[in-house]
Amino acid sequence: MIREWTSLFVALFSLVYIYGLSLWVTGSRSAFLNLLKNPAMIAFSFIALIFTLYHAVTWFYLLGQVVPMKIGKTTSKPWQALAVNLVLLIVVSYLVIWLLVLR
Amino acid sequence: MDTATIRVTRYRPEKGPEPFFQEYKVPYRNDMVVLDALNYIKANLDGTLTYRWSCRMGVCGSCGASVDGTPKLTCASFLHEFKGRTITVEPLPNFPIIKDLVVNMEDFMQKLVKVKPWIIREKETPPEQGEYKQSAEELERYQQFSSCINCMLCYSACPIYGLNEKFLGPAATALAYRYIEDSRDQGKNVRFPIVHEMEGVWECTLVGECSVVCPKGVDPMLAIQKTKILGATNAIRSILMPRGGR
Amino acid sequence: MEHHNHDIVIVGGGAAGIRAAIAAVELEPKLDVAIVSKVYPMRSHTVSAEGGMAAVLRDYDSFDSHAYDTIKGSDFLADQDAVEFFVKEAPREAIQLEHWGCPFSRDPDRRISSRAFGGMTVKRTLFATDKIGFHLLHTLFQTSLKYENIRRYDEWFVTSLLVDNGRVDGVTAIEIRTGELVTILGKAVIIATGGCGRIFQFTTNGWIKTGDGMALAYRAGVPLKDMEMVQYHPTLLPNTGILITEAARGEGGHLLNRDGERFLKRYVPGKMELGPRDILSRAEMSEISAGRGFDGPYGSYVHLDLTHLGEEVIETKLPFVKELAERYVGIDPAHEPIPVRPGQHYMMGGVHTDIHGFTGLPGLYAAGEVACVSMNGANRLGSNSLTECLVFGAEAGKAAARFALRQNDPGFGNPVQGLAMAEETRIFDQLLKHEQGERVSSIRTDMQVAMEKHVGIYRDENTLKESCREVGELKQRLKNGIVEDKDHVYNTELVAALELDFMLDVAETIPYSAVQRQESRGAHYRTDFTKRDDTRFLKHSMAYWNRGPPRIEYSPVTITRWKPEERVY
Repeated sequence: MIREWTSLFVALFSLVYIYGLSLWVTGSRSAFLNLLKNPAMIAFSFIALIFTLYHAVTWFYLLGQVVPMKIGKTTSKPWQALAVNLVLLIVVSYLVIWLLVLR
Repeated sequence: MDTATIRVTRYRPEKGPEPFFQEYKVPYRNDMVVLDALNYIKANLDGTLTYRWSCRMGVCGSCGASVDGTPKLTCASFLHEFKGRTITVEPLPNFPIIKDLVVNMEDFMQKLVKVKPWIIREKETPPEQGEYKQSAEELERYQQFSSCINCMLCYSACPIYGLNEKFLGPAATALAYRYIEDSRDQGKNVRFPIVHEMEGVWECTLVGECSVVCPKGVDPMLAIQKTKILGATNAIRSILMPRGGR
Repeated sequence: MEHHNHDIVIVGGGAAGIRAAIAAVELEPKLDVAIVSKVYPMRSHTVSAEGGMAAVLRDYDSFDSHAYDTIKGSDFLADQDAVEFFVKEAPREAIQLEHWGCPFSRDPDRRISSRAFGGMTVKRTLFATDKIGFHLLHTLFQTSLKYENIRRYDEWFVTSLLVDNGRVDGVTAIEIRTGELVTILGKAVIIATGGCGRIFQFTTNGWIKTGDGMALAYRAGVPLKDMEMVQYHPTLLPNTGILITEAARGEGGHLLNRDGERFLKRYVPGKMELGPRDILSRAEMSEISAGRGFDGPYGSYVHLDLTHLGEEVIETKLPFVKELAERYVGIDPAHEPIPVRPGQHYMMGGVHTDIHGFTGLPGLYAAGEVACVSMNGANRLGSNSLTECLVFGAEAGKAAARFALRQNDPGFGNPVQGLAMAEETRIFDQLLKHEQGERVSSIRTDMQVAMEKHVGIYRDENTLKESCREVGELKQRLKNGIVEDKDHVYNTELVAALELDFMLDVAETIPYSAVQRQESRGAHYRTDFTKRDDTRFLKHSMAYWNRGPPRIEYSPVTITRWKPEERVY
């Protein structure tokens, strides 16, 4: 049932983030940044990230089970789907961070 | 002598409207299963204790119950698997109780029939012409889903079924998928509308507890997801090729 | 009293019962067929069969070979016309089952796989990994769901046959869920309730195998044939009695004694582990008596060694064996031998029928383990039983259908109504109302211990006479038995009491038939008459209900082409 619990953290994180964005939009950018720097917020974000990664990992594995890919004579295994998607996740995440922050 | 305490749900509709717990002391041996404890109670302590069982080897599917909160086959659950020497045995959740540990299975039986679990073919060849050929690979595509013993542990573990009795549910969908994937069957078009209706596979939110409790490794959760994929691809196909395809 | 009408009433929802129902409605789709089963059909004991089902499908095989193997396996007590009919019908039934969806294991040529089995000269046992019974039953049950005219009474316990003027008109049955007794009328009744293994203490059988149908027919005047022929299967797990399939030996497993010796070379050098079950069971007991067995907390045993088969063979061909060994004895068969010992498994004997499943009592038919055609004689070969359920289940279904089409509805007037009311009195006013007496469970346990001890693998005049006396005593004790549970709703203790009542009647026929058969043949082995005696006993025992101990008569064995010879392997 752990995957069910992850949705709770995703929901909470979304609420907090929407609140934070509302601060940013109404001009109190420093208030938003202070919110993000708050140790409790950092701890919560960290926990929420762990849960979301857990969800992603189990989801990618399930994807590999449900839709195995046939390439010639071989069929893909679930851990391969997991590996490929994790790599894609890392690549896309890096791209996004590079586009928005590092550039 | 080593003993254990079995705490069992009693429900005697002719005696009172509410279920209650009753405790019994049974001898404890390392190789005893929960069913052995129940049989001991019934034979020696209280003949009124009522439950289902038959094969005692995990293949008939009769003896499902909730043991210390988890849906299990009582014939395949050893006393030593559980913490401590007090074990609570309750009827399978999500089903109406008839008496003690016996639950009403009629909803499940109806769902079995609903998915039309038989080979559907346009043309049957007479047996005199020999068996339908099937390769080992073709057999593997559906074999694990044909192992369901209809024990209903999956329905007890499924929170969606607990909230919505109309949900087709794990075992029935796995059975439908078993026939859909059987190379000898040609009844996809008959079964798709059944599994792809709202209370078919789409109610499933991938909790996955059904596959966790399944004692035979059927993995009904996988069957449901695979059926969803079939539904999605079928829907796209019918949009792109409304007159073509099947 | 509530009553229902059907064309055909089938008691028992296992392989034979469901096959009969399908055969009847396929013969005549207008027929209204009812299956009355005390459990949901998926729970029928067919489900636990493991090894396979025999049928001649390949070019290297022949009907004559299958027939001869079966007849020799039966120690020449089988009716050869029945066997010839059986082997010829078997392939059609196997393919029909495959067409209905049974997930048979497949060979590289995509045809159904077959394996070697005890007493069979060639590989003809078709298999589905090692869960043929499970797959066969579920295939039949699921297929039966497509016929609207097959109606089911699930968890209804049949208590008696209604016989009026020498004809069977139907049954009385308790709807277990409510406890109400109802009359179910039929133009024909087919009994398919299986065997009676629960008469014995140590058996592969599930708890529902209580000989209900045997007792029903017996009390209605149909003789129980060859009841002394009780099959002991060589490989049960000690304590639980759980079956380890013959397929384990079919795939190459060895039986070893405490010296690590394949001891069967001293008993059946020709077939070794694939010898017939009666000879193997006696061989194991001999080894144990000679001190060459192992001792354990649940008695002595020998070893079934699969370690040389390798993990892959076990995973693909014997996965259920692996699951059972791991769970119930904590052993991985790829690395350690499995402890096994002989135990009761099957009844060759049963309700007398002809080739068409007809019992001789107009309107009454029987098929499957409950029946004795006789196809299995004094010893059954493994993997013949499931095919028997299909072949004779279908045959009985068709015969009952043809009979029903020529009949009018039996009415619910007298005497049928009177009989049904008397049944209600017997159960609810007498049996249920007893306030003091002995528990049903204690009488049942004593019966099981007594039968195990005195009507076991080795018998003699004294033990058999003792058993006759014991059963008489137990029947008396049951007259003073009580049912603690007085509820009407789902009263399993009342059902247990009625089952014990059936079991004691059936149990009585076994030692009475056995004591009069002064020879050893097949599974019936007497230490005081160790030789087979064709001059005196090439005939079937027929036990007739006699309001007390049964009356034993004899009927001839049909010999067609195979003259009885010495049975060596």
